Amino acid sequence: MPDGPGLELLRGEIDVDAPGAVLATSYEKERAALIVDPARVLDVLGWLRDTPGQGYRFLSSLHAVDYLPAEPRFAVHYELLNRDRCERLRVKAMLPTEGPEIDSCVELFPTANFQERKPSTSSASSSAATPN
Amino acid sequence: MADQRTFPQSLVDEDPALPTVADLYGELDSDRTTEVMTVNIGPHHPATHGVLRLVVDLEGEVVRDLKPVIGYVHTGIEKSCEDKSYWKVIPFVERMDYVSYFFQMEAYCGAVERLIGMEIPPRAKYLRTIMLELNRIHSHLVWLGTTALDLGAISMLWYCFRERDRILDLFEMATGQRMHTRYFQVGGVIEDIPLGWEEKCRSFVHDMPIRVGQYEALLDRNEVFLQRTKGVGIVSRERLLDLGVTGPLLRAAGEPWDLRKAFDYLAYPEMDFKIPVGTVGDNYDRYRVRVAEMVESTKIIGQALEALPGGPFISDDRKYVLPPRSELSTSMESLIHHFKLVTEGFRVDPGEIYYAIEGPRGELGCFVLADGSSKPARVHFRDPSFVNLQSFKDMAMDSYVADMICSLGMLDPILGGVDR
Repeated sequence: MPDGPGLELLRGEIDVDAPGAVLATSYEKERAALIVDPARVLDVLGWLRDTPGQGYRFLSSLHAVDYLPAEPRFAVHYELLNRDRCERLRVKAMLPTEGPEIDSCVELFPTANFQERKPSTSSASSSAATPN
Repeated sequence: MADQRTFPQSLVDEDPALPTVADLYGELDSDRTTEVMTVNIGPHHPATHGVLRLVVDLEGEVVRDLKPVIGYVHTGIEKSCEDKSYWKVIPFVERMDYVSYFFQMEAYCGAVERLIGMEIPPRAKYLRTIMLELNRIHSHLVWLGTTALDLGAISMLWYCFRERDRILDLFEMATGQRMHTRYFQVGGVIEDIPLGWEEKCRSFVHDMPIRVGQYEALLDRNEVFLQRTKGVGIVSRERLLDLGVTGPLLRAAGEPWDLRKAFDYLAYPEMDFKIPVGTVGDNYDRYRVRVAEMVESTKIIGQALEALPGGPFISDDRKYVLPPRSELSTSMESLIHHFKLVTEGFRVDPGEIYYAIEGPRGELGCFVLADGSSKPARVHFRDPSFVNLQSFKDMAMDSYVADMICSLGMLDPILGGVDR
């Protein structure tokens, strides 16, 4: 997975194509994470999937986390995987206590279909436009 | 009168010309009046391999639509984990996918160890690897026995459960329990293997490839089994990847993806083993891949037994690991550590981690969020059965309802893991 400097370079590249979509980065326990604007999460996921040289085409896991008492309280985690480089990258979208809602990423990652339903029932967000 | 159809000498090399759906029912067209019947299969049905309900639209015997309905064994385990100290979570998580309990323990304990930055002793790594591979064989044996039973090969169940029982004997000897052993601990394993265990395990390693050969002798020339599996339930590699499918299902479609090779964990980097892959991605390939995996797992166990290092089987970091019983009567410090660990548990600094391993059904991931207390703030499992179930519709659409049952068996879902 990207190391600390590699993560910052990645953020810089995303900023060129999707300015302001990445709000922050986090690198701890040798795990890299991009904290993104929830309204633009699909832009970032699409960029990471389709941009040549990135290739995060596999969504391993999608789950919600409750960070009570922090605000924004909720987050949706996307655990992406580049299978060619054996690299993992987490994309994290923070959501407020009131009206936690985020766009469905089923169009980008069909595997999200079942997984998006799980967080919506267990703890945090509801995914808009998850197919019935 | 005898069946006039002629079968080729070797069905392994050549497929018989099976009648297609169109042969039997004719081409469907808009003018034809057809009746679609919706049938509920399950949730309580032996062929659903657990408490799974299938809402199936049938046109005659042909599946035209399918919807899996899950949640009948939802236990709220992930939520319950938030109310338990870290070490008390272990027995909870191993009850999710109740057939591969060692894998659940490894995913959880490995995640916590990475959160606290703990390196486990080499002997613990090897012991865990051995137990995981025994558990993989155990899981595949349960799958093979029950799936062959679905297809009418009743004897397979008894043969598979005979070898499974030997594995459970090994688990019982090492851990005191046949299932849900609670053997893995944060920092290593709870006890060293007893005297005589290695010898008994070596005997199993010697016998198992012979047994696998016997399974193959029973099934590989069984015309019913071959006709029911070859060319049935094909899903392309690309589609499986889109759906997030991992494990033997993906490898059967020709994708050599295995986390044991891709990532460095436990003793796998030191092991020499192959990743069996299929070519077509049908139910027959799924069977072949799992059977070959049993042989590879046996090889791993043999190598790990040969190279099993000496030394401690659990970390000696007293902040996280219980002191040995013998120290309690001689060391006040140990007594305090013991009291603190048993009553409150250990604390983990704030942080979060996702740790994934190769389970018998694919990528088994565990996410743990620590908030600095002695209880995890969030535990989430990425269960491969849950994700893989999405591919079932692709496998079963436009096939006979009987083939749908075969495909479900080959999918090998464990509903305890799906529902959690």
